[in-house]
Order: sequence, then structure tokens, then C-alpha cells
Amino acid sequence: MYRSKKLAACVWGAAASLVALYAAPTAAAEPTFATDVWPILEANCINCHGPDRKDSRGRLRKAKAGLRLDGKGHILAGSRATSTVVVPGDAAKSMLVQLISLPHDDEEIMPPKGEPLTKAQIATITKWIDSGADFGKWQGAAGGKVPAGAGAGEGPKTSLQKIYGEVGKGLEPLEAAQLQGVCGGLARVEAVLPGSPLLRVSFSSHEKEVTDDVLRGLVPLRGHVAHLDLGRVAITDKSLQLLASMPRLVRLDLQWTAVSGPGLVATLTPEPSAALWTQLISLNLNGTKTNDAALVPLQKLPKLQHLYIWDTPVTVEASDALRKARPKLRVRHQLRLPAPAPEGARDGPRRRNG
Amino acid sequence: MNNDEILRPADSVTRRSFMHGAARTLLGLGTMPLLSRLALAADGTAVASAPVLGPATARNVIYLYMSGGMSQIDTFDPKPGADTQGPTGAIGTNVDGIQLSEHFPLLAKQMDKVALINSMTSNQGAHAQGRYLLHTSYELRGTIQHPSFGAWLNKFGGRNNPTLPGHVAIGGSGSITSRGFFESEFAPLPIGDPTKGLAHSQLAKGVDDKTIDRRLARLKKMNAAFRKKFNNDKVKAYDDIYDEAVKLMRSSDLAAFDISQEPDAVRDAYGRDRFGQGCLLARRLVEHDVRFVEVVLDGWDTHNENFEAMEDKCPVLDRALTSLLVDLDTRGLLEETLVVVATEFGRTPEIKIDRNGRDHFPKAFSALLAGGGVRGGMRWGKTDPSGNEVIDDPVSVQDLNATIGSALGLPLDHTVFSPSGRPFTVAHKGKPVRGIFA
Repeated sequence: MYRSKKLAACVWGAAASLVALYAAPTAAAEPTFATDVWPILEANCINCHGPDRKDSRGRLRKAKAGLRLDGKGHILAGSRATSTVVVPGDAAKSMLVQLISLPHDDEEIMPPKGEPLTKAQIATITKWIDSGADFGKWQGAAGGKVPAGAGAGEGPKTSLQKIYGEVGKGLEPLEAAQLQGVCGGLARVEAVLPGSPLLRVSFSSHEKEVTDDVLRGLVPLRGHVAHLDLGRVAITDKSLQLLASMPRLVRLDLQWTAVSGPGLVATLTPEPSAALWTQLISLNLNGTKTNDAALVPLQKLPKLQHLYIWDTPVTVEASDALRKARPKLRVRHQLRLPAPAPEGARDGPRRRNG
Repeated sequence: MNNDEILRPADSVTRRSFMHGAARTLLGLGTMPLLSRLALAADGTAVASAPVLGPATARNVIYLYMSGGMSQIDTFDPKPGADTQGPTGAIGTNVDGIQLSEHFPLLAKQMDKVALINSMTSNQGAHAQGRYLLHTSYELRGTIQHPSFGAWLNKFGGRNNPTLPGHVAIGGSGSITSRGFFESEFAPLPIGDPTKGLAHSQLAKGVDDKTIDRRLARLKKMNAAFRKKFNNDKVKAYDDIYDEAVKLMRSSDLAAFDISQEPDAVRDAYGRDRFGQGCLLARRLVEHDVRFVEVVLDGWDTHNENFEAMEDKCPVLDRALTSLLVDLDTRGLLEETLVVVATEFGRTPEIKIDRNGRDHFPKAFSALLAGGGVRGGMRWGKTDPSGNEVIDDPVSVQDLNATIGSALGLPLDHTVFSPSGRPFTVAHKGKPVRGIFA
């Protein structure tokens, strides 16, 4: 009888999978690359992810997505887009495992044509990666290399990358522990760029709590701070000495702090030997009591490109003189917003005559 | 007897299981997403790895969305002398070789801060589809809601201000920008009227902080059993919304939402219309480290009387955008804030004579970027003298999003899996236009 046959098949299927379940651990124990994994790749992947070849019409076929799976170096190097095709010890992060285990109707599944890999095959590969992706003596095709900075952007460097690269050259990064709980946990500390030893420090939403005393918490970091955002925090001229001890500052934001012209003058005109803020490119003093006298030492900062002195006691004459002395320095002194729209202009469309 | 009857459980529906079922269907609390995700995790597919951020030149984005399809010829890609130009004139700018339409006299003086993209191209010529593609980089599908760009940014980059939302949408309908399949914390905070600020963010009369704390504690207690039983994303989403709201209500940065604190002269400069005031609010929010603010200006769908509409619409954009750029620049915010002006498609160079209008035209249109490491005073890509074809360096919608993403250091190749186990990337394999960065 048809129905009972189907039922029987059902029962048998269940029994078989039970057997498989119990049998699985021993059968799939410690897959080795050469005998367990490579045959799967060879049969299912190498056609597209192998060496360059000519197809039947004589056209050159390169490895798809720049990914070759026929050599140890190639596998670890990954594809054009990602180096995480195989992440030794972490199958879940490995794109290879992610793509072969997609639902069968997914347009991204690998292999894209033909039968998907069986559960046993996926399990073999997963297990091999999870246990460290040991290739044994297998090398396969030569070539390919493991990129140094996984996930790093390609293409030309931006000017910012060049600047920070230069300033941070040879600097040892601080220990992670030193970056924890800085300034009583109020500081947000991060690398200026991924992998850079230089730091960016900001105090978002804690401005009022950051006093001169709290800022002393930056002392151990002072050689590494390159971007310091102190906008609106409760510091005074007292903190300028600490800021002066930061030789790698590239961007410094002091807007709407109690920092004053005399304070800047006193800090920036020490004995002639001291070279202060030689890397500083951007200095924001908007809303401070910066005065004309302070522009004199500021004018000498060799790399300064952006100076913000809007809403300060600085006079137009002094800022014009500064512009003249340093034509390439961009000085923002006044907020030149467009004049308000003439009355009536905003009430409905203007009509054209004729 | 058929298989269904064999598989049906022997016990009948109990009252308790009926209640569970009712809660699931009536409250939309499905347990399936969690179950299916666990299953996938066991297969090793749905487990997301941590994204590796790349070098960023920008930290925040102000995204000005021109809804309806902005005419490129009447704005950023004029074709003086061509039949397609119509009555709109062209003017020179403070950058040699770059012209704008005559409706942008203010912006013309700030073009040294701007990178124009005149070679935008899309394959979506209908509003809903085009808008969706622009915001998500994916085509509109019935089966999934993709996250929009602001959600991706916060998902990968995190918030910079812990007490304010990382993603705010000003004007326009909430459906334009969306968290998609990401967690509720990545949803945009919608602001309808920028002059009203954040509605309902004050405590009710007669309720103090203590009372609120007590009430919230009681609520948590009452919900505990339910949460334990339905320990899934949707229930968590409700909790998160409460937590977020309380955090926001108590934020010392709440004043960021109050544009009445701005001097009248500044408010006038931006324009006393919804969009202008929205741009001003966006500046205040970015100043407080909100990472992604979208401001919508609609009314660009000019099938009829295009030229009259341009005289009306363009000055609003000109004034608000120029004020925004000048204001950000003076405050030092433009160094790390990327300003984007984008639209879902352009409009036909050909003028529809009978109605003096222009129709949808996804083949060639324009966008604008400024700040955030973008090199100013440049133009990327080119259309032919009639404006009908992109002839140099085409930029797809995905490419535009990849460009924004790369400015923010987002990993364009990092795959995120939807709850159904499908792989997605920010900008959907778009290629960043690296040439526009300094």
C-alpha cells in the first residue's frame, strides 16, 4: 500500500538519521585537508576558483572574484573583496562556510550551479576550519599571500592617512589597558585611523564634568594624542601646559572653553628651543577669549592650515594681517551667512512675466 | 489517514497554548525568527563577525534628500545653449569651469567646498523603487526590508553620543529611511516639524524623576515573566524603545533639538521654511555627535510647469544648503561632516511642451558632496551636451553609497546576514569614487 510504504520510509528515514547522528562524531573526526577537504573543493569549486585557463572557445577565464582555492597561499589570501574566505579556527567568520551553507534557493549560494554541497561535506569543511585549518604538508599551487591588514581599504591613501602615517611613524602603540577608563571613564579614546598608534580623544555629552583636574588623566597618553576634541569642556588656561606637552597633536578643538589669549601667549612663547605643536594642522578657538596678541605665536605654527577664531575678541585688522602673512592658512573669523531673503520672496512662487 | 493527521500532536489545544498563540498573532510576537536564527547559527551561517572599520575621513553625515526626482539641468548640470535647457539660465561660480543654474546664486560662491557628481545613473525610474534603491542600495523586494544607510552607519560605526539617537530623519515620511532588518536601536528618530523639536520629551506635569523610576521598575517587574517566555527580538525591541526614550529624555544634550536657541539672524539665513529649519536642526545635531541626519525636501516631481516650480524650489535649497556649508565650515564641523545632496533620479532633458514639464529620467542625473574629506571645487563625471547620456565616469546609486561609506570607513565587503540567513553588504558592491577625496 502506497501510504504505508511512505510511512515506512518515513520511519526508516528517521532511524537512518538517528544512526547518522550517533555515527557522525566518529566518521567526521579530525578531517585532514589533503584527504577530506581537498577532494570536496577539487570536485566543486576549482572549475571557477582555480588557475587562469582557456575555455572551449579559447577565451581566457580568470578565477572568479579573484579567489583561487587550489593552493594554501591562495586560500588564505582570500578573494579580491575579502581576506576572510577561510579564517583558521573560526568557521562562522569564514566566507567559504557562509556561502556554501546558504539556503538552496539563495542567489549567493556556492557553488552557484549544480548540486549544493551535502550536509556532511559542509560539516567536514566547517570542522576543518574550526580545528585550525591545518593544511598539513599540502601546499597546492604556489602564489597568493596573506595580506597584512585584513579589511584595509585599497586604493590611494587620503591626505589624512598620509599625515597620520607620518606623525605616528615609529611610535609604539599603548597597551589596551592604558586606554581603559581614561579621565574617570569620561573620555572616549580611539585610534585616529584603524591600526594607528595615534589616538583621538573626545568627551561627547560629558563636557561639564571635564575640568582641568579631570583632564590630567590624559598625562599617560600625551605622547599618543593626535586629535583632541575639548569643545565646550570646563577646562581653563591651566590645562594649556598639559596640551603643550602633546607633541603629536594634529587637530585640537578648544571651542567654547575658558582658554584665553594671555593663556595661549604664555604657553606658546616659552624659551626659544621648545618646538610646540609642530604637527598641528587644525586649531579651533571659536568662542574663546583668544585675542590679537595670541595670533602672533599662532602664526608661527609651521603646519597650521585651519584656524577657527569666530566669536572671539580678535579684530578684523589682526585676522587680515594673519591672512596676509600666511596666505595658505584658512582663517575662519566671521560667520558670513547669506543675507535673509527679501520680504515676500518666501510667500509662494515668483511669477515670470509673459 | 494522511500524513498531516499522523503528524498532528495527540493532545488538543490547551487554554495556555491558545493564549500563547493569540499573543503571538495579535501582538505580532513571532517566536520563529529566533528559532530559525538559532538553527542557522548551529549551521554556522548566521553568526555575524565583527566588522573591521577602514580609514575614515568623515564622522557624520547630513544627507539632504531631494524627494520626487530633482531636475539636473535646472540645478547642478545646466546645458546653456542646448535645446534641452529651456528658460533656466546658467551662472558661473567661484570655481573656474563649473556652472550652476541661475537659481543657485548663493551656492555659486561656495563651490570651492563642493564636489559635484554629474554622472549619476540608476535603473529605477519609479519613485518608490528609486527612493528605496537610493537609501538602501538594494532593489525593492516584497520579502525583505533592507536597512537604509543611516542604519548601516550606526550598526558598523556605533554611536558617538551615547545619549542621543545615532540616526535622525527630519521631514518626509518615516518609511523613506528605515532600520530594515537591523535591531530597533538603528531605526531613525523621525522629526516631523523641526521648529517643534522633539515632541513629548518632557516629563508630564506632576511627575518627577523618582516617580518615573518607580514606574519603570514596576513595569520591568510586570514584564519579566512575559519577557522570559517570549525571549525574542521583537519583545526586546519594545524594551529597547523604552530604554532609549528614557535615556533621551534625560540626556543633557536634549537642547540640541531646540532650534529656538539659535539667533534670529541664523534662522533667517537658513530660510524660515521647514527644510531650512531642518538643515539648521541637522547642524545642531551633528554638533552633538549625531552620526546620520537626513533632511527631506520634496516637491521635485515636476511633470507639469517644471520651470515655475524650479523658481520656487531651488531658492529653498540654495539658501539652506549654502547656510549649512558656511555654518559648518565656520564652526570647524565641515572637516568631519559629509554633506550629501541626492535624489532618486533626474528629469528628462527633453521638455514636455504640452505641459511645460520634465518626466522621470534615471539615465543621467546629478548629486553633490561636500566636507568630510571631499576635495572641493571639483566635478566628477560628465553628460553629453544635451544632458541625455553620461559620457564620463558613470556613478551608480550603489557607487554613491559606497563613496559615502568609504568616507566613513565602513567595511564595504563585510557581509551581514538577515534573519533569514541572506547575505547583505553596505552599498551592495558599489565601487567608491576615490578620486573625489583629498
